Amino acid sequence: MSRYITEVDLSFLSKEDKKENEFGALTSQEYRYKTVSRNGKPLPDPIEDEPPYYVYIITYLNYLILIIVGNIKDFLGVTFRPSVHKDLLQHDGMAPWYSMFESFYIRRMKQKIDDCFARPTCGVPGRLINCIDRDAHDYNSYFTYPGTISTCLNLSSYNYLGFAQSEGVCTDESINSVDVYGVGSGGTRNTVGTTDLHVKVEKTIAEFIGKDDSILVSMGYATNASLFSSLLDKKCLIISDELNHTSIRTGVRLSGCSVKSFSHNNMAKLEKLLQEQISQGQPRNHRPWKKIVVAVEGLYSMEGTMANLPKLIELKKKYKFYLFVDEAHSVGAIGPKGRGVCDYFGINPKDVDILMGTFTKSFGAAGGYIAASQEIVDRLRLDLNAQNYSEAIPVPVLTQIYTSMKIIMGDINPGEGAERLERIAFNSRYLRLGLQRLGFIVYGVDDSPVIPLMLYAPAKLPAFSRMLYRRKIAVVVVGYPATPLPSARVRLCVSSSLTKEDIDYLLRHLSEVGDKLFLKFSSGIAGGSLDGSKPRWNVDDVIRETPRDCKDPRFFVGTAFESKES
Amino acid sequence: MDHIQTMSTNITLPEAFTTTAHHISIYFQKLIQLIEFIPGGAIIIRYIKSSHKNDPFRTFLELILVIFAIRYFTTKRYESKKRGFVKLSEKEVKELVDEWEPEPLVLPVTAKEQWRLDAIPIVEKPGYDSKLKLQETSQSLVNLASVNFLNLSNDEQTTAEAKRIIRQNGVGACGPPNFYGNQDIHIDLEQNICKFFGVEGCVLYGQDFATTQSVLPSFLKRGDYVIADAGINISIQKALLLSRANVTYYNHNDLNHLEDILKEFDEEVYKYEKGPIPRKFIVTEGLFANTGDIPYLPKLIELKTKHKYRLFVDETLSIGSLGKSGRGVSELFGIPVTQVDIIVGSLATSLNAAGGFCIGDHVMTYHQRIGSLAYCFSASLPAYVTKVASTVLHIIDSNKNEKGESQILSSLHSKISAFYNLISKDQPLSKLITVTSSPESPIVHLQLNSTIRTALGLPASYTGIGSEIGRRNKLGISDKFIEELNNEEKLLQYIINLVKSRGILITRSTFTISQESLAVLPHLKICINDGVSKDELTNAFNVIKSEVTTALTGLTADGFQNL
Ligand SMILES: Cc1ncc(COP(=O)(O)O)c(C=O)c1O
Repeated sequence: MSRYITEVDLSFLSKEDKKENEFGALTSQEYRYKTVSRNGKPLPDPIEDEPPYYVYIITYLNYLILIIVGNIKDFLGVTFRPSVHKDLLQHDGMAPWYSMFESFYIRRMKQKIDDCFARPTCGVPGRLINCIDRDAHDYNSYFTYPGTISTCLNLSSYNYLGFAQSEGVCTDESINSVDVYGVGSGGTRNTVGTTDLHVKVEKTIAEFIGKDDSILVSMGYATNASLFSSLLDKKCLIISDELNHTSIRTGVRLSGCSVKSFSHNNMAKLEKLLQEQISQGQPRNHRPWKKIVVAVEGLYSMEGTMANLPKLIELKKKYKFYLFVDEAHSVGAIGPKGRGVCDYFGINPKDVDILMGTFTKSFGAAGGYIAASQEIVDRLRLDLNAQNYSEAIPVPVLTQIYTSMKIIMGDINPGEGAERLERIAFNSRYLRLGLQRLGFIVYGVDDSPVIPLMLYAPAKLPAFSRMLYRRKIAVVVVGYPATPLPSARVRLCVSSSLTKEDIDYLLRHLSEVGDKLFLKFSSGIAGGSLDGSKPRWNVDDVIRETPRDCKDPRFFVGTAFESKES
Repeated sequence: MDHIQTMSTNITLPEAFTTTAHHISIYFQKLIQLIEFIPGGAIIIRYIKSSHKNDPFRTFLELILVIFAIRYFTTKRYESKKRGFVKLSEKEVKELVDEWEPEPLVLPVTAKEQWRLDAIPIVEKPGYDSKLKLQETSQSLVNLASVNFLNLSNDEQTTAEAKRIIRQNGVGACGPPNFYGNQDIHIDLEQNICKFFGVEGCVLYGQDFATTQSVLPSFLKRGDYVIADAGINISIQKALLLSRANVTYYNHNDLNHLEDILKEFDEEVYKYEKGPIPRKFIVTEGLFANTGDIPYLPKLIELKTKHKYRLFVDETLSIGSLGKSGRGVSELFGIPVTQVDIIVGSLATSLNAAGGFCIGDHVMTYHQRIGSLAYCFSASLPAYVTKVASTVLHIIDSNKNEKGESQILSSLHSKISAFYNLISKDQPLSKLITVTSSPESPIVHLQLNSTIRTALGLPASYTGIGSEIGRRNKLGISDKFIEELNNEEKLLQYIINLVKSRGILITRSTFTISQESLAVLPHLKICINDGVSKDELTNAFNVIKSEVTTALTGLTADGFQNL
């Protein structure tokens, strides 16, 4: 059995099967839903369901045991078997690469469930994903590969609109572009890395987003990591949502400005903080801040929640801060026309100063963009580190971005973009309402394609992941430190490429696994029930009723009150 | 407690006292048993017991100290929040909010800087071949500007593999490596890189500029020590900033100075440090991005071994261009790659793809898979990109002679040294410009000669300690426009334009000047490309020489102002 992975030959699949595995054909026109713009209405305050107390107690006990056992093992290991734990100890007069404390979580918790992470895959991460099977040895310290693959239903990739495809116009265009432009990027954008295609794609993004101009960066993470240094210095303040992505936090730290954070999506706290900061000014000398930027994300990828944009715009007018919105997950996936949160809320994109996003998600490509007014873009073009020091996006990736964006806009293959948008909207709502009715606690807003399903106890992470993998479903489980300690979860990423029948399959298996692992805790206050009773529907009823009900706002708590009012 | 109270109603006082004391001692013993369960609890109890036996007063005092400490910490947080706060009425707050006028988010690009935007060349098909077509010019130009030194962008093998993988895997990987974004093609490249360099582990990153910024902070924390070259590129500067380690700079490429610092630290700093040994790194570049020179690696290895440091080398530009088979600066000096503790390389230069990678031993690379932020929180590279890099590694190694020299690199090296000999040995030219790069560097750096710079009234450096930019950054001045820098760069662009009009494209260094914290000067850069023939290079040299001479001879400070 090999310890190495070689390129897997997938040529046994016929072209038709491959196509269907990447993007399932729509089985009925019923299974589409056109997202409704909120026309400037802010979101109601989210209702968060809580599990019974004993769930939290068990969760903390889980961690306590893990920590105690881990510490004892560390102590014994270092004392009696130092040769095995050499990595943790000083040797040859040098400090270890990482301290025992820094790596405690990795060694004593994550490594034990490493078989649930970084599963190697092959082929297209589309509707189905091919996972390369592996056998773990010595508590996951190494793997061997028997040479088989498991083709799983894919709820893990950020393939929101299903553009991860190896057939179709996007792929054809990308392949053609290799012949025309070659594969490499010649250098940084400001030396010779700019091609006419970069210029064309930047204009298209600007048109898509509704801004004057945009800048492409070859990595989404690096877009944020390099942006803030060019906007802010130490006399400026950034106010950041506490759950903002690491890339934003890295960028902010690099800029050297002052940072304050507010609790996730809490607009009242944000307003209070703004009043306090504007009136107090910089610490010690009380000079006014040069500028204040508020940074939020359009769609939070671990929570499924959205920034409350209408409220933010209202605050922005009152307090004159600049607004930065990271649309990594929302652009393409959200809104009646797929243009992101501005589209969803019916807000003029010009009201947001900087709209940032990435192409690794909805567009099936790579890289990121910054869209803003001409004045800002011109300045950033000269002063953004990513423009001056990092490689440009290579042309085949650019072509994928261009083609997929044009499909969403309806300029290529009219109708295809609309189908993708309506399918992801339907799939998201169907799965969300279905899970709520089964009795799971799920987070996030009604239309979010990211559906976090709460597991709480860390021991349930590997159990859930392994059980579903055996049932040929690939999911992402996340726990501490990516989430708060007690709220480990599985993150389901819905895609347009899934058919309604795929979601039926998923719901059946989730329901079964949920029973076995005791995951159906919901009280119904956050959805799934209209009369305040605990929703514990039978899965057959869910599958029969929900495809129709999920199009009706009455069944979603977040929008139910509004539809009653109107 | 109420248990005790009910008992005291019908028991006389002394009795009540003893029973209460008895109960308390039982509870106390239970508490002690409980504490013993906590890891390390037994030690605390033993400590308290022994100190109490010898000196009960001391226990009492320590208890008070603990209480005081708790009080101190809780009150301090409260006070620090309020300290320095001015108490304001609601009305005052409202007035202040209404009064506040922020600066614009960015300063607009002024007429004086507009030329920079206009000077960015726009490349048309066929992309980055040895001949390059710009939107503004009708004929093709000789490409001495792009960093794909091996000229494999339009190579038959790389393009065929790229197309095959796009047809098989699509473009994007649609997920971070830890969450199903890790495809067979990625793992294959990691394994190929390991084999290529003979190292234990390799980690891929989405962009070369972001790699160092993520790798170094995952091993360096507050309290660690870094001794770094004063000529390192901005990516490393940012990495060190993120890591919060103590950073000391040695003069650029001055290894004697480095040695002095190491000795000084051994004697003056580490000797007095208590607790575990801090992590110590020497940080440098294989081929300096800002100056094009190369550090003397054997001495660095000697120093790091002697003084027990780890060595970090950024080989963004050197891998795939230095060494007889492209293994980088280690190979150039005949040193095994494994002697360097962390090497960061780029997939976007010679390897012709995009992204970056980090190689080293298994422990170090494995830790990055969970501890390195740009790896964990960013999507994997497109599969075809990694396939292209694998293919280039294959091309480099598939044509080697018995001495282990790769044919494609030998060809590149002979062109580099031919061009270098022409430009560095030309007496008249050396009165105008200085070549700062090493003879092996694929990028030839030209800097205005110091006499000319002095005559034009240009400062020794625009950035770094004591510079104008340093001053403005310190004071938080938003406007970073510097007339001299603008003119100097404009002069270089003027030369580039002259050269361009004669059919050759060269380039210059571009900076985000406000971000550079070390000394930098603008350079002209000539990137040697393997696809360009020796005759074309000789011709290019003649053109560059004549245009540099035209532009610089007799240039007065006045003429410089009015370019
Ligand atoms: C909010 C947010 N911003 C930025 C990124 C980074 O994007 P990329 O994966 O393209 O580097 C992510 C990716 O996970 C994200 O969730």
